[in-house]
Amino acid sequence: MRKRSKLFLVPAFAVYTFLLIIPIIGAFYLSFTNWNGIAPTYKLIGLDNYLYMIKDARFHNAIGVTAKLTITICLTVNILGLFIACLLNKARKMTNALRSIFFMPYVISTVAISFIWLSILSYTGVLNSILNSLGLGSLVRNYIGNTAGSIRSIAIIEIWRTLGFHMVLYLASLQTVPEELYEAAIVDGATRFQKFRYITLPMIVPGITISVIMSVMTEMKQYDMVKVITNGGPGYSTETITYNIVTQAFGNNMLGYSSAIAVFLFAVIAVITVIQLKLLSGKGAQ
Amino acid sequence: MKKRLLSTILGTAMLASAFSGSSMVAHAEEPVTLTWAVFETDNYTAEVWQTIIDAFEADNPGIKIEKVLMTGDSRPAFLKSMNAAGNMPDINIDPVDLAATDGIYAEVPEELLEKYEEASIATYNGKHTLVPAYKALRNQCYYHKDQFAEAGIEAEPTTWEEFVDVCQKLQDAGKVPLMGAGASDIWATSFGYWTGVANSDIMKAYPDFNAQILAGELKWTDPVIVDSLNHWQDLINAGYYHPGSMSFSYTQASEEFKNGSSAMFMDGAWSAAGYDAAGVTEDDLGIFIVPASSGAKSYCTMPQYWGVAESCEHKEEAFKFCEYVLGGNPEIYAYYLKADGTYSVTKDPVTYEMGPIQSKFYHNYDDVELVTEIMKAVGDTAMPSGFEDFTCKSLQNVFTGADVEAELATWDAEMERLLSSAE
Repeated sequence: MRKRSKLFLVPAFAVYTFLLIIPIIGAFYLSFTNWNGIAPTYKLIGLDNYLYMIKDARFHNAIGVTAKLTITICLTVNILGLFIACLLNKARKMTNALRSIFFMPYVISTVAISFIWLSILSYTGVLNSILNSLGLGSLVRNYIGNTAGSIRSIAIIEIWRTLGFHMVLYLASLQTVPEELYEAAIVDGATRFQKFRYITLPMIVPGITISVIMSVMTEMKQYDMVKVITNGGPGYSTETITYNIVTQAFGNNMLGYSSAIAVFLFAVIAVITVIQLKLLSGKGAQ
Repeated sequence: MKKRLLSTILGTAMLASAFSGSSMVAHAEEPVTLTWAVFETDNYTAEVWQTIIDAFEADNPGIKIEKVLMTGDSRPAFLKSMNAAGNMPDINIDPVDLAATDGIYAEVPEELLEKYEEASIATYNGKHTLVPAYKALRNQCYYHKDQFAEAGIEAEPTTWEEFVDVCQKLQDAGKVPLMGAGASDIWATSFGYWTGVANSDIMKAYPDFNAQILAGELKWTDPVIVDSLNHWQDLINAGYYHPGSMSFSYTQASEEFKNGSSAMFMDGAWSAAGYDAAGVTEDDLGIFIVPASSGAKSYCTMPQYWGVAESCEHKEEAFKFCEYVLGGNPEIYAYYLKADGTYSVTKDPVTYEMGPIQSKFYHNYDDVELVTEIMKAVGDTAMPSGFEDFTCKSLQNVFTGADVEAELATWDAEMERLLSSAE
């Protein structure tokens, strides 16, 4: 019976292996080659691609941009997401409606969102037009046309897009906390902060773990929004690691090198995820 | 018995007719289907491609052409992906980026190549794998005549100093002198200055620039290049460009210029054809070649090619299609050229009636020398794949204030890296 039940896993496992495991192994192998992605032949070049990553300034810049975006967005969406979830958890009647409103940006295509925001943030876009019409012309800025402004704009748009998703994750976690615990705390004279610190937070650790890991993974792989809004620019100011991978593979014909960067990214995400799981496991309520 | 005989005869007759029918079907020639990778712009519309396909299919009943639309912002990247996936379209427009790799495109029959100008034929390692399609004039400076008049400017500038003076007069009159572009269109930031001015400065100093820089005899940090780009940065630092330039896509910038947000826009030849189609007259719009600070009087053209994939199963028919569109049928070739304001490369030139703006654009080059466009050179003097995109990004850095010499130093390093990886 057990053997037969395992057979049911075969189709899913085969698809998973074919679409994920084999490409990952393939990318790992290619990272040791000089394949240009076009020619039928290539050479094995050992660790050359990995060694080049150490001195590639453009790649280092991409790591910096990705780190800035990941840290800013992850902190904001998780703190703000939890805060809004706490508020919505109280607004019993309106919870469903508000949850849908906050979640809406997440279900719209990122490319569509990017074009909407482009029309808002462009120099002659909606935001600057409103400021001008209100007589606030001195506040008009070139939001996506300068180095500092462009990365800030990408972060703000991404926070707006993903906040609803993380809020829903936290809301789901909050709704699993037994009401009896709060009633007992009230009897014991606990303050609102004490209830949050000693009941809510420990009880939603699994939710925090999932939310933080999801946001880190999403932002470490940021590509589509950067591609549409700034194309990595001005200059290299918004080039992320994933953008760099695509550029090296399909722009520079260096598929071997881009595979090495992809393996690096895979390893970094895996290490961060394991560390997060280790740090957060055991922090929750037993 | 009779019945059995009759049914046998009928059955035999039916079988015979069935077999003869099927053999007729087998002998009827199946049409050859070719896939053709195209892209769409304001000028190259779906209607343009369909008109070409309809004309070819009407004249060549045995061959069907199926369009493959190249989506995304990089046609070379699209073709590379298709090639990697084993779905390479039979006939490619814009194949230059892949042509340097041996075995991607089929060698063009000599009798077809003989129909094109010698200068348009590209050679990669002694092989001719590209069919010359057209040459495109690059860019000049379009300007609103009313804004010039309001700023008291009576003549088009003929020297760099006069050009700077024009910018200053426009700024003093409360106008934005120049429109720029950026956002996701990285090519558009430097396109006007690089192809219109810097290319002339460099080619005046080093007529064999591509061969020299590829051989390591020259550096990108050469004083001629540094000086030329410093002049561009002077325009930016003086505030002559629209403050929103870097947030505009090319289309947005073009629209902003048309709406009068700036007095001048260094724009492509394709826009001249667009202005003519929109009925803009010379009374409203002027065009001049931006004078180079070195005094160089030259311009460049971008050659464009088609390629037939080595994987194509019907190469003869594919080259027949190339020949038909690219000169074999002069009417269709003229139609193709006119769509984007490009020019023929056939030994027997094919011309078309140009509108007033395009005509002015064309004749501005009458006494100006034609030189190679550094980044668009094809064949053995072509820049390595990805280098042009890299320089476009670097020039965006220059636009946003980076030190010119430091940026150009990165060009040398990147070029060395790309060349060594291509070996």
